[in-house]
Amino acid sequence: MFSLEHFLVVGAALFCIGVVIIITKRNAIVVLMGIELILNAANINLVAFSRYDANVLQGQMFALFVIVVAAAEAAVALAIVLRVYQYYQTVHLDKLDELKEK
Amino acid sequence: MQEDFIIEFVTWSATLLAAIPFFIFCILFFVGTKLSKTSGWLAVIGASISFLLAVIVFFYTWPDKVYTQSIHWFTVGEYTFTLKLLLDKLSAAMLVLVSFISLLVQIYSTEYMKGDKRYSRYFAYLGLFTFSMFCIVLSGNLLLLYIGWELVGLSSYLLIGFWREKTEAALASRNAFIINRIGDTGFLLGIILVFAQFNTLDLATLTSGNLPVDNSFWLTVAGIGLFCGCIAKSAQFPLQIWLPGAMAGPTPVSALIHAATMVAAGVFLLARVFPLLNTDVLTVIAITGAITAFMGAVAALFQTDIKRLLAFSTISQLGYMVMGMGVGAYGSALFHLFTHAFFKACLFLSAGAVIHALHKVEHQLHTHFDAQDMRLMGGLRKTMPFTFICYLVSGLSLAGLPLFSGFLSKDAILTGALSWAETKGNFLWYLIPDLGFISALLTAIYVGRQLILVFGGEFRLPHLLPQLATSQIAVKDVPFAMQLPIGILAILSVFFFFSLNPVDAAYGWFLTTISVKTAQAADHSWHTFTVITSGLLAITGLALAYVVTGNTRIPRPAFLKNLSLHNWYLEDIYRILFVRTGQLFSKVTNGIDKKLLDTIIDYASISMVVLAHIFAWIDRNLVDGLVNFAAYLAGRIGALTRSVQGGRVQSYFLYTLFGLLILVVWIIL
Repeated sequence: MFSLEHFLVVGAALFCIGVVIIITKRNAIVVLMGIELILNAANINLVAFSRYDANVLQGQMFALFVIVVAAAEAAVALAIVLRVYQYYQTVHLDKLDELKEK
Repeated sequence: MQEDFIIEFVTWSATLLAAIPFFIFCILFFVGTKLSKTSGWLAVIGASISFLLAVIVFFYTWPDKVYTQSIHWFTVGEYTFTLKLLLDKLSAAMLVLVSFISLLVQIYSTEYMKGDKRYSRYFAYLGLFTFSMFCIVLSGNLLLLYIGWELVGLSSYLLIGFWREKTEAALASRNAFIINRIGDTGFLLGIILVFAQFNTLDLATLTSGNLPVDNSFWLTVAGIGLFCGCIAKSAQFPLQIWLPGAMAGPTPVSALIHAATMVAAGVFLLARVFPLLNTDVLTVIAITGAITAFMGAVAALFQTDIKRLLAFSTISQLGYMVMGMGVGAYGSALFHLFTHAFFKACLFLSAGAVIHALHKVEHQLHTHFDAQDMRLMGGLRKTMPFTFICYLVSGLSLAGLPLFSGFLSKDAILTGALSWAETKGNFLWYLIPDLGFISALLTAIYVGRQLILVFGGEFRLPHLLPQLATSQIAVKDVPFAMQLPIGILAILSVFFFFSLNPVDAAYGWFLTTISVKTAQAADHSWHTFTVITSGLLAITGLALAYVVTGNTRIPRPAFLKNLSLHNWYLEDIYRILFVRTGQLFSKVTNGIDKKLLDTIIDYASISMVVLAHIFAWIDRNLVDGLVNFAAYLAGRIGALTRSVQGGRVQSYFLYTLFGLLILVVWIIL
């Protein structure tokens, strides 16, 4: 059967993939996907660890919460991306450098 | 109570009569152009009111009332200056004289100045002059008197230069003003010295005669200073050169200012401060007066200009008055001031009438000739009979013929001079009255000459202008508005207005009241001698004039003629002595300026520039270098710290991750 390590490895792999996506991808929507991957990596860890929990369901409940929050976050983030697109006519992150001193 | 009311009434009347001319001056000066024709009559009405008030004041004051009124003016240190009005017999008589002649002259001027383009301005100036003269007469302290004195100088300047388009008039007014300033400086110094001596300027206190004199030297200097004012204003030697030039003004002005009133201000001043003048000063005054009388008479001898001759005659007569003051014949001098004012004003106004009549001819003929040249006149007794009679009467009065007022006053002065010389002891002092007698003879000669040239013989103008003889144009006597003042003044030149005795005025109403008892009070032992001598001299002079004038066979000494025509070459002497010297001095200082001062300044500025360059280099390299370095350093540090803020969200994330990793590693290890 699958031991705890397997889950942790999958979670870590997912996390790393998410981080790499966030750092390397230039498209804002793809970056959002990277964020989702990181969140789900955390979820896998939560569910995997909940097996050793006395009350069993704490980790799973927490994972559900994360999914809900992630959905809300995705909605808000996509709305922002839409606004950004309307304003700048692009979602390419390298071009969104208003914060930089010109 | 009654007494108080009279005092109030008299002082207020005096103030009012002085204020009226000033008021008229203000009206005419600011809105005169709108009034044009009426301005003359406005001035005449004002002058009449002034005259009436003056007469009222005179009757309340004469013979020995004194009214004073003072208002606090300002305080300097411990001394308070007041605006003080002093009204005694002297000022009351002067008030009547000034206002009367001013009135007559203004009536005369309405006709004489008719058609002048600055008609109202002329009357405005006359008003200003009358006001300032009243100011002198009424002032109760020397400061106020000085202010009036300066105002008189100013209005004289304005009136001499009234026809400012003429270069001659403009120059003459400037000349008169500057020469008067010279005298005024002395006057001011005199006032300051008097103040330093007695700590008061109040005339009543000063002349009360009971002030302690602790330094007679300074008192002499102060007296000479005060006399300086008189020298300039009353055209005494050596400052008499401005008066003939002043004839460039309108003739009525010459009558009012340069014959009757302003030039008399100097004599009035001497009368006012008479008790302050000590023997030394009086001697100087007497000598100056005698010299002036003689010089003026000589200068008048050969003049060809009708007004210039009268101007020199005025100088000579003023010399008499000043001499009278100097010899202590205080009353006689003032008496002569009054008689002279009447007959000289009459002479000037008559001369003005002649000039006016000839000007008319000049206009009608559309030609140009000198309307004041006596050589072109002659025979005017037929065409201008009224003017001739008036001229004759006042001229004989000037010549000092018995039965005329001039005889009385001149006689009184000469008597005073003789008794004064007697008290002095040394026979040299008799030179003073002798000069007076010689001047009297000369006076008769030039008066006779003028009368014959202007009114006697044939009319000589047609010789110059043949078209005059053929045309219908003739010289006409002047209108009534000009005849009236001349007539009145001529009548007042006869003896009985001043004394019922035709040869001795000493007991006449005027002289008995105005005289003061002085140390050198005129005694009458000389009187008979004077009467006979001066009467004889006048007749001789007139006879001489009759014989010599027009008779070309009698040789005239060229030296004397030049001396007379050039007024003793005084102007040339002053030109060399003062103008040339001044110019030379300014040239020298100019040279010093150019050579020395400019070089120094040049070098100074060059060294400044060099210094500035050095400083600029230091500034640029040292100071600016430091500042630039500081700015550069700050910029570099800024760039360094700024470089992490790249504006890329992902790089921020990377930094965060990196930081998190470090945290994790730190926690685990």
